[in-house]
Amino acid sequence: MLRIIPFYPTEAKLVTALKRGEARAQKVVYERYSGKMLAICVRYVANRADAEEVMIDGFMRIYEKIDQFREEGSFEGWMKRVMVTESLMFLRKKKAWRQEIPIEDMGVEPDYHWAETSLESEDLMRLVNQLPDGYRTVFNLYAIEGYSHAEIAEMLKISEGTSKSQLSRARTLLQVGLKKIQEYHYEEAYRKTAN
Amino acid sequence: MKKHTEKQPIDDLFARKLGDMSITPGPKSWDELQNRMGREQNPRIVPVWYRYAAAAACLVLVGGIGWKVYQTSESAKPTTAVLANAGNDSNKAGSRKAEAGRIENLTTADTVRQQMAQVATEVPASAPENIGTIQKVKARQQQEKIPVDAPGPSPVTSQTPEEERMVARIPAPTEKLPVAPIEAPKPVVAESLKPGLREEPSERKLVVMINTPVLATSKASEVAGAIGVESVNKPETIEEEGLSKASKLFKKLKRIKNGEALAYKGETGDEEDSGLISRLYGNVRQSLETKKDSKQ
Repeated sequence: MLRIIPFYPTEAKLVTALKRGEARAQKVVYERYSGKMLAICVRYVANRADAEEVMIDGFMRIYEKIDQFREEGSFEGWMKRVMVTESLMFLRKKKAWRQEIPIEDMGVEPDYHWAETSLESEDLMRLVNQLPDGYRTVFNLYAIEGYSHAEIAEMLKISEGTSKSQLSRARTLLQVGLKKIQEYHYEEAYRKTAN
Repeated sequence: MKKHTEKQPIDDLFARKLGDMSITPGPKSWDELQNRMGREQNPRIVPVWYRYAAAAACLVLVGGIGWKVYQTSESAKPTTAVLANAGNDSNKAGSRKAEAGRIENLTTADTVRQQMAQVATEVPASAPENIGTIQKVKARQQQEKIPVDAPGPSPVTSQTPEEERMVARIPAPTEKLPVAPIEAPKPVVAESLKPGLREEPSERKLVVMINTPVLATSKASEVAGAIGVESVNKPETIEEEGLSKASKLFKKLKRIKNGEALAYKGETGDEEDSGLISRLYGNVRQSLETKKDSKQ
């Protein structure tokens, strides 16, 4: 299946066509970027079906607000921000980031080198999706999107302290999750060699 | 947004693995997106097909006009030809005589006028007397006219205006005469021709002028030669000088009535009434080309 239609060789031409409201350009944008945009939505929303809904809303927002895009940064970066905003709006409706769960700190760091080489993106995504909404949101915004605690506090209407504590908890939970996967893999490998 | 200077290894791991991750959406999500856009973005979608609709409307309009013009030009040819035929059949002999008689009348009338002018110059110039002489001359002219008309062929001089009109109409389509097939004649066109001719009859010259094109003059010269009148060429010169403007206007009017002006270039070479169709065609072609360009 041909996923990328070879029209609009440059991003600038694509954006110009989008600003004119060309249906073909809208389709091309969807074909090129829907995968990445859906991944962002899944990372925030955690539920695949909800994430697709959010992504569709995000693309509609992109088509509507394309006139607001100034060619200062990259178009893809702008679209990612639109998707993040859309995801946050969805989570805000759920009043998601106020949950707290008790965490038992295992105190042992996972093997990051092993995780890097052995784990797929899908495995890590599953770990992120298992986080409570508030932790996940702050972790996504801080660790992956690169926002500061001040910005996150502003965006989520929470205090910076809350943002920091939620990030810390999110990290701990992820570390625990990585550790569990790691242990499971080691056990499997040991069983195979024993047999 | 700022990049964090010290990045924890767990942040780094997730950022690298998930930052550029891609998940293919379900096959129906694009349709869903389009559905929602159809609901909420109607004004954006309208102009796309609106252009095509406008182009189609233009084509239909041009096609309609072309068909109408074609139809009218087709129907105009046979009716005038039939009229001409009918006129030839019924009035052939009479019309020839009539032409000859009228030409004779004109020439004799001209000689009378010249004589009158001579008489007028011979009379001594005093105002009241002048008036008197003019009146006398007029009276003499009337007296002289009677004997002038008398020797001409009697059925010709007593022509009714209707006959004159018929005669006038005969030579007009001389070129089309041999080509045109005889089909159901349309009286409507004939009626529409009449008023145009009726406006002119006060001037005798005009009637003669319309008769004169190639075939008519040759006929007239034949008859005139038989009777013995020599100055047949005189009406032609009058036509060229006096009536060029009026006749052009008249021809144009007639052509517009026949619908020819839309279809063909005017025989007179006028640019004004020519090429309406070609101009329309040019416009359509231009719009099509611009459309192509924009598509490319």
